[in-house]
Amino acid sequence: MKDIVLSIRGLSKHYGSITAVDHLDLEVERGSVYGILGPNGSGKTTTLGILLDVVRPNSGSFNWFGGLPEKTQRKRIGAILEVPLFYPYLSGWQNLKLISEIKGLPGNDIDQALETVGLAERKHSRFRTYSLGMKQRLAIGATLLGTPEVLILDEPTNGLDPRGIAEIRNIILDVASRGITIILASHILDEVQKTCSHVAVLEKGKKLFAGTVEQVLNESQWVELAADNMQALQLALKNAEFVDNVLEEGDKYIVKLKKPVSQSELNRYFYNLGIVLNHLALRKQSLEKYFLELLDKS
Amino acid sequence: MIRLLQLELRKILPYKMFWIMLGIYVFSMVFFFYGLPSLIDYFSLRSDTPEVKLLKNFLYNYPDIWQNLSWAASLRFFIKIFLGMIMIVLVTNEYTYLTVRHNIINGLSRTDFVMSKIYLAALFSLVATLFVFIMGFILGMIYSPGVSVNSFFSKMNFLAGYYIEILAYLLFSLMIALLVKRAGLAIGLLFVYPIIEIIVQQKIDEDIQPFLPVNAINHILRTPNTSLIQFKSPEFDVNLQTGLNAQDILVALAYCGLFIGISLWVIRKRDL
Repeated sequence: MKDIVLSIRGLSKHYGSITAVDHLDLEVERGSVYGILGPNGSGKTTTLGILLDVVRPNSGSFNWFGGLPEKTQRKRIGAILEVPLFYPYLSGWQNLKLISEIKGLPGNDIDQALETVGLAERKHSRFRTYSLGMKQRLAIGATLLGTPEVLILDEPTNGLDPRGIAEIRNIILDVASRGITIILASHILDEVQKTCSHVAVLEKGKKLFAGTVEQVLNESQWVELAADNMQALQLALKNAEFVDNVLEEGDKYIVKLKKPVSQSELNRYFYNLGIVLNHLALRKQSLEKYFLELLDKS
Repeated sequence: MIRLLQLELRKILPYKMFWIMLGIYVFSMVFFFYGLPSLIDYFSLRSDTPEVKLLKNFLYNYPDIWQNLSWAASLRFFIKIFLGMIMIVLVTNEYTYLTVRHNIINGLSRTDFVMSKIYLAALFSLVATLFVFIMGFILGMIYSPGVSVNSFFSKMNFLAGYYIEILAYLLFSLMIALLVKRAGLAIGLLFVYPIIEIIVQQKIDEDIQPFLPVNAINHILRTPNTSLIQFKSPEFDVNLQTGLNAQDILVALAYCGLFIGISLWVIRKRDL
């Protein structure tokens, strides 16, 4: 049986006439790295805000860990929402100590958390004096306190330089390898593709897709085709019943197939029509293409 | 309760602004209490009533000193307003820095968040009462002509009245801070609201007047009728206070309940 950490049913939130979250249903399994993908303003942060009790939903419900009392729930969750939130006049260490006490932890893992995110040297400086990258890393460090069961990260690499992004990604992968469930909101597709096992795509608060990343990558196949006689190839593609969509890219066609077809089958098909292919390559669809396609359709 | 109070102290003890504001509060209280005789001189020069001048000689006498000082400390536009400001700044900071979200995300319930501020108000009230006690102890020991156990303790219940009054006032400040979320606006309201109430009370029935919130809070300690002003003269026919009144205290406590209720309601209902 599936071990569901979080289930969301019919969640909606309106801000005046704007619908931020629109009848959202979602289930997150234990141990998965769940990416919530969507353009800016698609309701990702609002959804996470509701899950963390910072935002009140207008309707619908959600359920953590099969329905624990509200207070104990959030103590098992480490979360970053939008921007790092800390007391500016307290040091990094004091801030983490405060969080430990809110969570009811003994606080003996603070130094280790600071070590993990590379802030050990600056732990006694005030939060106010930290750079953006350091603030973000302190936020990640805070989520690691007390080894949470679920990590919620909202745009964790926002505003970081490439090295910082790589560091954060490594931390996420490291945490995921320890079996901690991660829910990651992002508008950066690459980030989701590289770190997540599952993905849900949101737009205007509506769920367009939810499933495994694998599923997205395999859902439809793309092949690159080129032939000596490109006009004949184009005509043949138009008539072929296994073709869904054709794009022209440089001197070759990018073809979306309705169902997986093997390379030799393809080759034979065109050879029988008297077309000699000089280029044939399978292309794993990137999440980005799929994402844009979904947004186009909606 | 202890845990929530510890959390609050962890937030505010390293906060420099808190100590500056507390310093201003303590300084103005000490200065005001110590300077009361001079103020009385100043007013008696203008008012031509020798009785007021006489008050000076009894001001610091046990047991009246407890009533005099706690009344002076509870004047609605003066010393306690600094305490109200401290309360407001500490609460609105949580909104400015968005740390209220941080608290909730990390596992504090919304109710706990407000309760921790309520406990803080109770602690501040205790500290404020302690200040008045210390000032009364020092000034009384220096200036009171005779000290007996009886005279030292007999009017100390005014300190309890002072505690309730300050608590109600701080809960009022807390409620304003939670409602408007901005320090400047909240402090402005803390000043302006009592003025509004003074205007309102001119328009309404005399029987209802004492039940307006700030009036009710202030009604616990009114202009003292200490051993000195026990005379009645045509010009001085004011209803002065001789002792604490149970009804006043009950009304103030009811307002405490109302302020707490509104604070909890507002935090539960809103997006943070």
